[in-house]
Amino acid sequence: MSRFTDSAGFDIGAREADFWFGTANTAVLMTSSLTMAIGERATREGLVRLARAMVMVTLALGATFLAVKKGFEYRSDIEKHLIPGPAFPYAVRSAVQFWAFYWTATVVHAIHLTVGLGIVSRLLFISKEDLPERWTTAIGTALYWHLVDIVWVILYPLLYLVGRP
Amino acid sequence: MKPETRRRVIIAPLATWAALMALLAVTAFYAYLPSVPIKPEVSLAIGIAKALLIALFFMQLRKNASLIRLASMAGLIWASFLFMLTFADILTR
Repeated sequence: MSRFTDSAGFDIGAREADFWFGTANTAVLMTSSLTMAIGERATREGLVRLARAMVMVTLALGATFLAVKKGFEYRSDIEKHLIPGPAFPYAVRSAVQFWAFYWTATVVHAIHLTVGLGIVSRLLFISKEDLPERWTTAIGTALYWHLVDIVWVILYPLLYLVGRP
Repeated sequence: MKPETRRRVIIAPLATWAALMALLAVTAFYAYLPSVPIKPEVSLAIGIAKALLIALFFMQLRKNASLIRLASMAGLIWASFLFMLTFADILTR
């Protein structure tokens, strides 16, 4: 909406979002959806070793996403004072609005992803013998993980592709 | 692993993933092309295409149990209510 009313100002803010962190993280998260999908299907087929390995890779990729997001990207954003407030570098209202949207959307997404890590790791606590009959748990887990991915895939163009040259 | 199982468990998800990566490359490239039209629309359309790929193939909503499809539709409809109420407020001010 803010972009609709003042797209130039919005673009000034959006240009500061780090394209490479965002794009790399999109690739990481989509790959984690791949491993989750294989893990879920392997559980259904009774391929327990493959399923467990894929769940572990999914967890590692999820953790990588959070490390890039929080460790590197947020740090760089904070160093550039890209938090709406007195030190914010642009005195343009819609640029401030972009960053308010950025922080709200990405932090809420990161919280959901962290919850997802807990839900996915629960699959590892199911014993190897029980796992094949618990395939509905794997389905539910995979659906949640994919949903978190879908939300990111929509956020990516809104946050990282706006106002590029 | 039987070839049929391998196709279902590994190859099919891999194909979806390859399509997702290709779309990511296209959208990132398009965003940096100088003076091309309707950039926001294209990037959002590609984003929606990626979301559909994930929903239809990774989540298997295309042929999953009716209950799962119903629950996912409920989420979508609920989200649309929220967007509708927000836009109804802002657009009519």
